[in-house]
Amino acid sequence: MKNIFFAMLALMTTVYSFGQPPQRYDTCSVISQYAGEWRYTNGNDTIRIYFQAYRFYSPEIRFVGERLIGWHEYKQGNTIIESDYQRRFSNMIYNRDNDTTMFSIILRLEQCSNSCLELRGTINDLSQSNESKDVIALLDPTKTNMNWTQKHGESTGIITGAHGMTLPSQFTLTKQ
Amino acid sequence: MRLFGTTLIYILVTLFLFNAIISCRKTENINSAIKPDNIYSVDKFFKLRPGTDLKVIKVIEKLRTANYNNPSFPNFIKTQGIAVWDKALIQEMPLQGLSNTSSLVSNASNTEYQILIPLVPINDEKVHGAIAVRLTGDSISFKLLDGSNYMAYNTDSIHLGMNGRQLSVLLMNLHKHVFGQSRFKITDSAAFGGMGRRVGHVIINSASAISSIYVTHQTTVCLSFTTEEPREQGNLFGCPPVGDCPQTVTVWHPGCEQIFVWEDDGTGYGEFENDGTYNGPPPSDGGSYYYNPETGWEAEPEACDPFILTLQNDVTFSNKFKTLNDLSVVTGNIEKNIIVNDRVNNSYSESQGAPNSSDNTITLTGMIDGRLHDHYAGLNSIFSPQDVIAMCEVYLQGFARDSANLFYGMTSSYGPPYLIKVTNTELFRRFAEKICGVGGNDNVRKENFKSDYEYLLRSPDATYNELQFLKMMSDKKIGLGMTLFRGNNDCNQWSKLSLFMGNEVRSQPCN
Repeated sequence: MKNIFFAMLALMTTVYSFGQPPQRYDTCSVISQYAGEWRYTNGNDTIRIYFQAYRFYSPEIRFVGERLIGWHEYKQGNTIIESDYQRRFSNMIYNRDNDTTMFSIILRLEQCSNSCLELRGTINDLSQSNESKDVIALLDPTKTNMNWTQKHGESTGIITGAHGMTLPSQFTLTKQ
Repeated sequence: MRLFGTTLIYILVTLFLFNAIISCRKTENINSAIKPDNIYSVDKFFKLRPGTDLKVIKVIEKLRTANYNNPSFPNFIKTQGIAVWDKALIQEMPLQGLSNTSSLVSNASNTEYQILIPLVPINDEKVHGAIAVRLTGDSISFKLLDGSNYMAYNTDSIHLGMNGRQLSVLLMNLHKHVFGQSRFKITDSAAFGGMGRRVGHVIINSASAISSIYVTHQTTVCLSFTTEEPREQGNLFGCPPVGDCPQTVTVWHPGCEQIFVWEDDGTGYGEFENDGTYNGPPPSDGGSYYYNPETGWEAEPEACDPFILTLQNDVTFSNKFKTLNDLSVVTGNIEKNIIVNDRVNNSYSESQGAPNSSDNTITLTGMIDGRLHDHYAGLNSIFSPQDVIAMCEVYLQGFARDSANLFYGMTSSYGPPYLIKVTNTELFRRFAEKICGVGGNDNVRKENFKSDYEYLLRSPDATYNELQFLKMMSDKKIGLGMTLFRGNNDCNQWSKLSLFMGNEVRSQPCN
């Protein structure tokens, strides 16, 4: 009876699997522990970043992936230098044709593991024609501090002419 | 008793799982017409490209009105592919007894147009079929030409208007128009039958230009084809009458194929009604409608891109490129850039980034032919994912002076210089949109592309990187849309690189 059971199970699994579109899964639920607000303050400068774990689904390239998406605000004193922070609670619907205004940060865990402390991705420089900068964010073992470094990507600004960088190239965020 | 209990549990669990799976599949069936995937494919089917002819737009509107909400239409797309509207072939057929006027509207009502719209499967790189359209004024008739149906064309050529060979030739001709490939291998003799001998290869000749191949209601495609002929003893060069010489010889034959697209009984064979409604059968298995990729022929690799020969012979270009391959440059810590603004008129702009930074201060001020740069010590020996993204952005945002020949070049201390260039605009656009999104604005796709390949392409081993780059091109199904070339140290001799058997780099010198 056991054999019949497993044979039927295997048969049904095969039948069910057959014909399903091939997809690339890059899901990683542990990334959600970094969701929430992070803050950096140094004298006059304040940077706030809000992360949300988001599962992308792109039917055309058949991709499912888990990423941290984020919104940021950069203030000097009471002056907001750049911000899309107010959008952090809006409904996020990924538009495959033009997502540039939905969020400004996208990060992935280098390895999907609870012990991995390295996030990589990009941040859009809102004051520089949304040119994206390459980001490496390293967490400390307590996972409450995030050392953020960003640099220009290759070919930055070649089309827009925006070659500047608004945020500091390095700062440390603290989980709020 | 215990045995009975265990058995009962097995049966109940089995029934539960079976029911759950069946339930899921039923839900899928019911919702198949409104799944996001389907909506997206229907949207994509009707998506217009710049340069689409007004008469074709009229056809699109008719088809869209009839089929946008047709639950069977996504299955048509799965089995037949996406229409390449901007590559439609249009031929004007003057109607007897009606005079032409200068007005477009009057012209349209007085003239019959025969339109062939190529269909390309979503995940394949060949013209698999076509929608044939007859447009007269407001009257539009449709007919589906399904490339995988060549056997039926052989057995019922009178009703279907052509035989399997004529169908194949017509679709090969459309394939050439869309993808630029003109050499084909016959994989099933039934797809090119009726010649009295087995045909091995076909070349659609350039002489049969698209605009001039039509004679009223008839398409003529000129071609050359090979057959294996018995060797006549002693007649092969350098061969004795008997011995080790091959027993057959490949012979090329010139020929032309006349195709009567509308010479059927007017029923419009296929799944299109004359009002443009797709009226095909519902999927038999609830969604995974069968796509048959077999058309009895396949495109063969082309020889080296002729534009590369032009670059090889351009001394100014080679010398400029060579300056980036200088040892002092590639072993330094500065990225230098040369923008080829207008190669024919020797217009180049040079710049460099800050030390140890791949940043630069280049801003494009107009159309370009290409870009050359070095990867200083520690950077990739081959194009980085960001280089590929940048090239795609230049292409998608309209900065390519000659979109069919846009190129990027790079040098490094780890190996030879490399070039990548567009070798087929349709395929390259597909690839560019896949990794950068329509218009090049999709940061999620770009980020995914970077994360997938930034480590794979970063080995100091240039040979390994060549292989990984070609595998990337294969993974992304770019096909012949972009080609990778390896150069000599003088940057004036290039070899086309291709992936062989999935794990080997093949090099073909461009002469």
